[in-house]
Amino acid sequence: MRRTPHTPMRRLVPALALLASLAGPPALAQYRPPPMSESQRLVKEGETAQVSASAASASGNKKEAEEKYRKALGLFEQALAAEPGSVAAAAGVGSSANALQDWARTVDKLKPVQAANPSELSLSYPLGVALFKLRRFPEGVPLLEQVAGADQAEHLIVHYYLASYYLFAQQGDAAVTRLQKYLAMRPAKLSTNDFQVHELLGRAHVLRRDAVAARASFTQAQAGRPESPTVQLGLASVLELEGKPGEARTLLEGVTTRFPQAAEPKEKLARLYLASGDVPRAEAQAVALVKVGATPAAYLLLGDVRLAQKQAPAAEEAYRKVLELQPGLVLGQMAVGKALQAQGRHEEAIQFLEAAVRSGASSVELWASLGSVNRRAGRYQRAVEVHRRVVEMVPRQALGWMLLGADHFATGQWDQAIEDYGNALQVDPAHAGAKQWLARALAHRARDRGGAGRADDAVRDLRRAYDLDRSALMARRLTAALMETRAYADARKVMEQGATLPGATWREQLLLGYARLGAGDAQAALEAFGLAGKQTEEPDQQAEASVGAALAEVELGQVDAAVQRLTEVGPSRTAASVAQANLPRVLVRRALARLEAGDVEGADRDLDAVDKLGTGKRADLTKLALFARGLSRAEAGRHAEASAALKKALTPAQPWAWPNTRALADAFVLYKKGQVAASRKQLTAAAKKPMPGQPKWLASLTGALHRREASLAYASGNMKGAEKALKAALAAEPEDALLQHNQACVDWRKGKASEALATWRRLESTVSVAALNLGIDAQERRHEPAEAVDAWRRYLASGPGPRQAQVREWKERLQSLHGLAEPSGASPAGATVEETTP
Amino acid sequence: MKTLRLLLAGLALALCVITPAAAAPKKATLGVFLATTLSDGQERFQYAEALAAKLSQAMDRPIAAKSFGRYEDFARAISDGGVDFAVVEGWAAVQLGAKATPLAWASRPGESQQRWAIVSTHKGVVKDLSGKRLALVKGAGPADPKFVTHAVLGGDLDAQRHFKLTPVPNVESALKMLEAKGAEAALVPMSHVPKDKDLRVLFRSSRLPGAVLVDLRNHKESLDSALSSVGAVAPFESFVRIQGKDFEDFRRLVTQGPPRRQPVFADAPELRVDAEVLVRAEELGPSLPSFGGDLAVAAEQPDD
Repeated sequence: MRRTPHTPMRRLVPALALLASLAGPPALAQYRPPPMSESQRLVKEGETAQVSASAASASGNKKEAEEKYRKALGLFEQALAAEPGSVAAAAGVGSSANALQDWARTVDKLKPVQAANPSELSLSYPLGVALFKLRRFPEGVPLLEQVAGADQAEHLIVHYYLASYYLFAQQGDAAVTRLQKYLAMRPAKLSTNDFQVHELLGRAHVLRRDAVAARASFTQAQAGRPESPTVQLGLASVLELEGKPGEARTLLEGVTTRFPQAAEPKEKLARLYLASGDVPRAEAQAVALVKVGATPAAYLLLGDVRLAQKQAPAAEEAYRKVLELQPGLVLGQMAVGKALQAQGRHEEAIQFLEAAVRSGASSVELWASLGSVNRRAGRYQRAVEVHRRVVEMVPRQALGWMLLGADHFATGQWDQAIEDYGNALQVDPAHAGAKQWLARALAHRARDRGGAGRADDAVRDLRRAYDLDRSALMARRLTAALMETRAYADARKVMEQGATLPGATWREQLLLGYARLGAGDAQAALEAFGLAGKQTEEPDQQAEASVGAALAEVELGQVDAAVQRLTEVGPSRTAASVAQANLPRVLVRRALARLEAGDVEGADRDLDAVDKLGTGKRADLTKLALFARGLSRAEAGRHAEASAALKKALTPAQPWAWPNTRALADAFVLYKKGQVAASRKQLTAAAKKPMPGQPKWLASLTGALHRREASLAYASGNMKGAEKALKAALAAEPEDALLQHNQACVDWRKGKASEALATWRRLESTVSVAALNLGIDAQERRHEPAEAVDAWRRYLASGPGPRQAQVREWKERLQSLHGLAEPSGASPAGATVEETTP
Repeated sequence: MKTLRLLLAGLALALCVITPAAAAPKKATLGVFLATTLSDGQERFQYAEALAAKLSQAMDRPIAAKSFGRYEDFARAISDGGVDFAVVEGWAAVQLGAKATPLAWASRPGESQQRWAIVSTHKGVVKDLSGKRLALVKGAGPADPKFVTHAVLGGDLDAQRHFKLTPVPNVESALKMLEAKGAEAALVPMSHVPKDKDLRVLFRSSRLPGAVLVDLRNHKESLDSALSSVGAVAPFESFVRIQGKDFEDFRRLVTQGPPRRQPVFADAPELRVDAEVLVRAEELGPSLPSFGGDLAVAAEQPDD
């Protein structure tokens, strides 16, 4: 077996191997890694150096660690130079440069590689940290957020960095999220430092204005540890948040005593003193703070104290010290500007801030401040220019738009101001200031528009303003504008709510009253005017409410009470002018109402009063009064005077008259005169185009003319004419008892006595004259005096009437001739002295 | 006849010629025939004398008074033309017709018109006096029954059919007739009904015109102008001029009776104006004050 048979086998194996190498899959081929590139080799060496550096660092040998890191950095940089797109080389540069705190190098070397590989966390992490350390937050924070989103334990520190950034940016919610994540992910051995995280959590909750959570966090941070001035400071913030500034001060007074070198509690305490107006104590703390350390914050505080003491030059000095200590500090620059303004040195303030801006301190706050200083100095155009720059710098913030709005507001450019505040709300829909000032700018524009006769536009503005600012005052403005457009129903809707809002006064009730009155609800209006009168002690205002009540009373038909109020107005000139504008109208209206009720004398008295009061320049009202006078003359039977007055009143055509008023009035006078045909002619003309509310009265006049015609024909013995007219009247009112009764009279005259009798008997209970006619029939046709006496007795018992005296005479004559006494027990109806005396 | 006419015409002409030559105005004659309105001859005489004196003064001419106690005497004097103007009972003036022009009413104090009464010594009612004698003052001859039927009884009873009318010269004889049982009933003015006698008032008329001054001889104008200064002459008040158709209505009542009663229409209430129909309602609405002042805004400015 040592010697294997070679011949066939030796030939087969190489053949199979060749076949396999040609046809078989590569996996079957044996794996051999490719040779390392120069860059890879350098990376590998760099990684080795880095491991050594870490080990040195862990063992506390800083010098060796730094040396090794430098070596690693050199190797990684060579690697990156050899292969500029290498992720591994770039990542190495980043981690070793960051270890050496050479942040700028990291940023410089990593940026292009990271841009080409945006999802590489090994690049995002060191670059984000470097940018963060360089305080280039807008670039760094998104990278750190990316890293944090991966939740990797090795990047734990990112959560801490982000939290501290969010605290700096005053974003409490985001800070809380990151800090809680950190606590959840940190390894157990790091838990000894949790107290620091709890303190930060407390500060985040203060930002969120969550006092309970903040107190819990600070308490946890302090638990089991020696008193920490910064935690105590946090607890003071919580007290302040809870609305207990006194307790906050007491706490800090203790802390500052126990930790005289702690700056932050001192500063906070001084700020609390300033806020409470306790300037001397604030000054003491500020001076002490400067002694503890000449920091920018200390001088900033001192400057604020000096400003509060109205010592603007001293404040300026302190603020300038801030800038000496930290040149270009925006807060300091703004503060100097403020101090200069306080001294009335607006131009200097502007120049100072302009210079600051020119020198490259391009912060939003500084530009904002520069613009506002210009505005306060009356240089509105520059203010607008500068604030436009703010908008460009932070287009996603409301700040720039708010500033522009204020500039335009100051110059009364309402259209622009409204647009600015509208833009602010687009960026930040919940911005309270934007809502408030947009509403006010709209109110200003509405006032201008209202004054220029553009009431509809004013209404539109105020509707928007009221949506933004649901206050009683804004409701009042909107209601006023709506009433100017006579949109009383809408006005009422607004003021029904407005009058219930906090701060509503008698004036809101007054407007509610007028809105209700305009909307036609006089009863509710009267109630509102009553409330308005009760809600004020001022006699003038009470007079205004009383006049309003009078107008409501007129509508409710309580005209006498209204006239009383309007004639005894009281001290208010406004009320007097309302009364003056309404009293003659009210009196004319009462006169018309009295005419409707048949009180001609009362109507004349009212019209006399109108004549006495005069109607001023109200030509239409003068004519209306004359018209009413004409109607009263017609009712009094003074037809010629009536016709003359009506003609004069309606020449030329009056706005208060319908197109057919003239014809109707003429028809009425002719009816009263008994000129049936002429009246009917006018009526026919008027009825061609009846106006709203007229058809019923037109029908009544038509019927009345038929009745009058029938009466006149009957009285003249023209039974044919009477019957015709009655027939026409009955066609319209077949059930009318009077018409049926009168038709029976005609029947009787025409010899159809039995039919007439049947009708009269049927109608006697409703038409008293039927009894009279039954008596006449009994005496004249049937010669039955007893029956006649009985019928007439019934007629006389039905009540007073124009024929009573005559019928009584008839009855008594028959009684004494025929001995027909009154039925026993019945007193002689209507016996008077006259009949018992000779 | 022809001769008589010519004679009369001649006499008239002669009178006309003579009259202007007469120095004093001719004496006029006032007749007084008030058989029912005044209570006795003495009163009638005194009244006639007093009125004549007053008229004489007022008209500035002599006036003689003539008091008539009986219708026959009065009628004769009228037909003789012996009376220029007269004060007579209303229905007597009606009877005079075209001969007399009624000028003024003479009425007793407190009653411009008077009621008449049927008095009787019998119990019962007027209807029970059917066929009985009614003493009736003869005041106007043929018009007397008409006056009773039409005016006093209002057309509801025919006096001539119902009573046996017994003419008497004056009111005092009518009452005496009752006493003497010469009649069962008498028609007298209410004012003459004796209160102390055992008489019953069976019927009272409605108020009717009393005495009236008539002109018989074309003295209307001078009488008219004199009346205002005559004043009251007892027992009457001052004469009151007859207004409008008052006397004609009375004449018609006496001669034709009251109109037949006819059924009367029931009057519908008069249609009144309706302000809303004639005047646009909204133009009558209140004139609300302006609320422009409520658009006012505060001067507050936004600042940062």
